[in-house]
Amino acid sequence: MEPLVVIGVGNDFRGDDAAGLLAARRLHACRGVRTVEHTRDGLSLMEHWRPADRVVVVDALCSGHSPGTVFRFDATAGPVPGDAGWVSSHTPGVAEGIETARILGRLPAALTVYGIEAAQVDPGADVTPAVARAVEEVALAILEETGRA
Amino acid sequence: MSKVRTITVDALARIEGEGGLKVRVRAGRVQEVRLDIYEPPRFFEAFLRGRALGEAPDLTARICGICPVAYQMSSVHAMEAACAVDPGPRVRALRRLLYCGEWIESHVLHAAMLHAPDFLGYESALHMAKDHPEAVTLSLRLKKAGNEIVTAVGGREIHPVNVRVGGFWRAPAPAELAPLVPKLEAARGEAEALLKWASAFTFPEFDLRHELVALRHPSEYPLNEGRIVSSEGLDIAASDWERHFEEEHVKRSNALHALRKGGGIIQTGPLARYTLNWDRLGAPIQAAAQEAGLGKECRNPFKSILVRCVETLWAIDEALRILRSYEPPEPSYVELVPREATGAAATEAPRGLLFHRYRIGGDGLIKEARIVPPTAQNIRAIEADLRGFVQGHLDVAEERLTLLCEQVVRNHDPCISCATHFLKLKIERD
Repeated sequence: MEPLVVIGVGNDFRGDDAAGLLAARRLHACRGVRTVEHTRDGLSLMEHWRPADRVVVVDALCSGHSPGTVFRFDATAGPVPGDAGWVSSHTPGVAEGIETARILGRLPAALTVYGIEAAQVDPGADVTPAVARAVEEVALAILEETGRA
Repeated sequence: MSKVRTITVDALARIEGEGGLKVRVRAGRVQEVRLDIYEPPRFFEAFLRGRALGEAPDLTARICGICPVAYQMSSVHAMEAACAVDPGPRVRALRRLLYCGEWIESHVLHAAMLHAPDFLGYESALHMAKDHPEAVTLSLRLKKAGNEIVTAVGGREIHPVNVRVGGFWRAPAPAELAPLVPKLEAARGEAEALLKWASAFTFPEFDLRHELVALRHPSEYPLNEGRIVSSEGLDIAASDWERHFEEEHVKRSNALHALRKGGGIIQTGPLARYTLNWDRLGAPIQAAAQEAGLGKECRNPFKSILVRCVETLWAIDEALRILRSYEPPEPSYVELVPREATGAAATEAPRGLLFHRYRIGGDGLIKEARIVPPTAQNIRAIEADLRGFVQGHLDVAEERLTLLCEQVVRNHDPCISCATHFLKLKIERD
């Protein structure tokens, strides 16, 4: 089985923006999964994978849907929408980082991006229950789609 | 055609933090320039009160995700000054190495990813990558080399955990730092290529005469220590910053504005460091700067991109120098004995002078804290640059002028998160 890299993107100190990090932590102990907690700008995302890797990126977004709604983008098939409302303390964000990697020929063998709709991203806010449930849902979906469930 | 012209950028892109910009022009004269900083204030100085002095480096590092090392350095030096402790040359060398790592990553991020797209007419680094893949690839590698220094010395790439008052929690073994040498040797060639690439850009003619303020050291290019000097002849101990400069609150901004006492506009950062310390760069770096078209001084803020590339090259050489003669400090830190005292220090963050002052009690708790980030010192210079630039380019069409105004702001690599204490642009023409 190809190596699986799960990259959680976010910020522990801004409520639901922690969703990506929580998903990575949830999968940390799973066999055959390498997890990365990414707290920087999107351009350095490509440092975490090698060409043959299967990669899943999880991040929070604010698109106006109900909290905890899960979005899935197949970044291997086409561009990740930059205007999906990705939550980021840093620019360039996740979508720019992935599209830059595509232009530079640095995408991994397979790349999926999960977005989890956030309810609150204020400094010091808690993670909302709907988002915590969505983290669990995404973690299980990652294991399932990569044949590790 | 209407006589009123307003240029507005509601949220400036490619800067760190949140802010907006408004320029109002009436009858051919710039009437008003406002840099609105609406990133909420964070009250660091207030919540440091009552904390143990040893907590200052980790707490203040949180002011910025780009330059946490700068906050750690100014705070540890200030605490050590208060307690009259000198951790010695090995700790000093290791701190300089860590700081070089931060300069490399911060400068490369700004120069290549945030600033270069302005000169080449791209919306972002992503759009630029299509036509300039080599430059983007080498910049990413270069930035990574800086991150790796910070990780190796500081324990992790942002908000390092290994810095403490008195030294380091643990001194890395020489074998742990040795792998950095070949990476930095490769990075040196990449930094030269980046400088060469940027030197071919077209730079608008623009020369400003703000008072340049930077540290100056008897023999080194300034980083961790030195006296505060200026282009107007100021030469003071770093601890005397407050006797010669002041901060004022303006309604439109959650960031304070720092000025010379009496109201003079100051500018800190790469242009000031370079112009006041060119003779400290050393012959190889001076030659590289000259080849890139820079003279002994640089007052054109658009050319700050070149100075950042030159300083990146310098930081790589300095890091290599330290690494090649590295000996771990033993012990890795000295204990401070708290006493009732005040300590102040200034170091050179990538964006400029960062001043910290703390009053501590005999119980080792912080009684008062003052933190003056570089962006607070540069806001008036940015506003003055905008006023001068718009006045000289009133014939330029709206869309283009708005882009140029944003570039004028980005010239200074403002870190609004640090100074608020963020950015939107509005040009209003009567």
